[in-house]
Amino acid sequence: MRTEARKIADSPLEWVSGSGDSSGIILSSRVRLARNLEDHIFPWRASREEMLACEERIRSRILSENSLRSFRVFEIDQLDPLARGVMIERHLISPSLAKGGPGRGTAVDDRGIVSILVNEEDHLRIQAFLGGLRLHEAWRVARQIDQILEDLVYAFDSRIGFLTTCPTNIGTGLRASVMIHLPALSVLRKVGKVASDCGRIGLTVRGMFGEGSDSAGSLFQVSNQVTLGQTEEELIEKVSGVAAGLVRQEQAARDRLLSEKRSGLEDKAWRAWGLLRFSRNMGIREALELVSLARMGSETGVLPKVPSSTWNLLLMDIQKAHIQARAESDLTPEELDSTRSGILREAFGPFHQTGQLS
Amino acid sequence: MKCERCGSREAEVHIRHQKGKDIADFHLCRQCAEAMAKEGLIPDISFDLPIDSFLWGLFPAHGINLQGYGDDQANQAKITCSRCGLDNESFRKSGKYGCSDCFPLFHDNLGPLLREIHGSEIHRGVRPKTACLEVSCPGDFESLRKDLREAVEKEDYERAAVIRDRIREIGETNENRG
Repeated sequence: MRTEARKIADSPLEWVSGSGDSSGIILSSRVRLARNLEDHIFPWRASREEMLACEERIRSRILSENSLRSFRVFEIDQLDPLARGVMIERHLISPSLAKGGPGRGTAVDDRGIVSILVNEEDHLRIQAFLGGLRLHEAWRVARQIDQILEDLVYAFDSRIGFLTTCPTNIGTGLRASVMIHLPALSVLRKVGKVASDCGRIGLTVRGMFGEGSDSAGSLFQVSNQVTLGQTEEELIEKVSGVAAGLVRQEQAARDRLLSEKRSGLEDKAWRAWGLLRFSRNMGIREALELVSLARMGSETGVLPKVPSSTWNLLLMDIQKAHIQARAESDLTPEELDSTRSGILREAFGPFHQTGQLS
Repeated sequence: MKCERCGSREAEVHIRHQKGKDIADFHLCRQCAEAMAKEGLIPDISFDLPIDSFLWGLFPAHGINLQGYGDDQANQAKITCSRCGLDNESFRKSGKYGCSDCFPLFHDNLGPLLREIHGSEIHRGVRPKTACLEVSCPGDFESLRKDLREAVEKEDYERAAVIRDRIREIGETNENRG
């Protein structure tokens, strides 16, 4: 029962490796393309037969393409709830796709860069994830897949572009986003201001865990709002430019904390480290907060150096479905929290020996 | 406008029926519309609903106010997409299209809605290779030239510039091929 969920939890994700520019602050870059097939009614209006027929065409196109031979195709209904939960936590599927139903599926490549969501809001959602600030590269990856799948004949209008279920995706169907870690700006309570500045220039800032500017773990997603009227490169350049600006702001905020509130920062970071190293029971929200503080401490030289990949991996490994998938049997909420603290103690153990008080 | 059926009363119910590319419009008075609905000639609509209930209200999914964009629809009783079965009322409630045929059906001119959401109504991104790109594809070059003339006449220079770029792009593609 758990084999599939565990296998998915243990499969690689490229962005976790922590490669790419500014990968300490920008964890990942994602480009998503929304597409529909001309010959099929959009998923929310389609009959069971139509959904299955559409999925069949997409699946056979993927499986017949030599350059996509590393892709694994999943039927959502064939996956148990735990495996679906793991996929959601890895952003390979959306919570809405995870509900399942006829013809709903996903195809994932073996390096953990691309996932193709089938029959979600649109027939196709092609998404490419890479570590660090690499939106242009992610666009090129997604576009390659797009050019293969366009053999299926997309719903396209020469004036308004790719036709999507929701008018907010019409045109390029492109959503470019970065997952960004802004702990210093959060401490200085600047995230609300950042979000409203972004809103004014057509970008959206959302919390990765929870909504608004109090997102647990200071993790945010910055993405473009509009999809029509600009080229894909222009849209991506805008998100990229703003993301690079946010990295500079976050670095400036960290410098400010180090110079003006050093002892406060050190105390917070070491307390976080201590709790992560020695706690015996920890909920997800607290864990995300402490990991965020400790990560900032580590990146600013207050705490022992821990590689980006370790921090990134933890973000998934401490989540509920990942913990359950690796457990021998279903864990109670208490067992879940105690297992989570065990995962954290183990993760930081190796780095503790090298830690020196500054 | 007089009712098409009796020719005497004022037409109050406007129905657009689309099958494939064929669009048929019916302009009827209330009495004739009710009679035709009973005969099964047109979809049965609750004609006793106040006309206000057809007015476009808030676009719930996105908080976009569609009032004003659907004046045509507001005055029409019901438009139903013959391919996916979506009608204008459901479209307004859900804010979602049901298939590619819905786009021309629900908006004679999508422009204002797209402008509201995106600040633009012209796609400038990549195009599938299957879409008409070459002059050999009949009508495309000509329709672009026509669009360009229209845009200039309407003094919509933003749009004109995009169309001009597109014509140039097609020209270059064809030269490279030739």
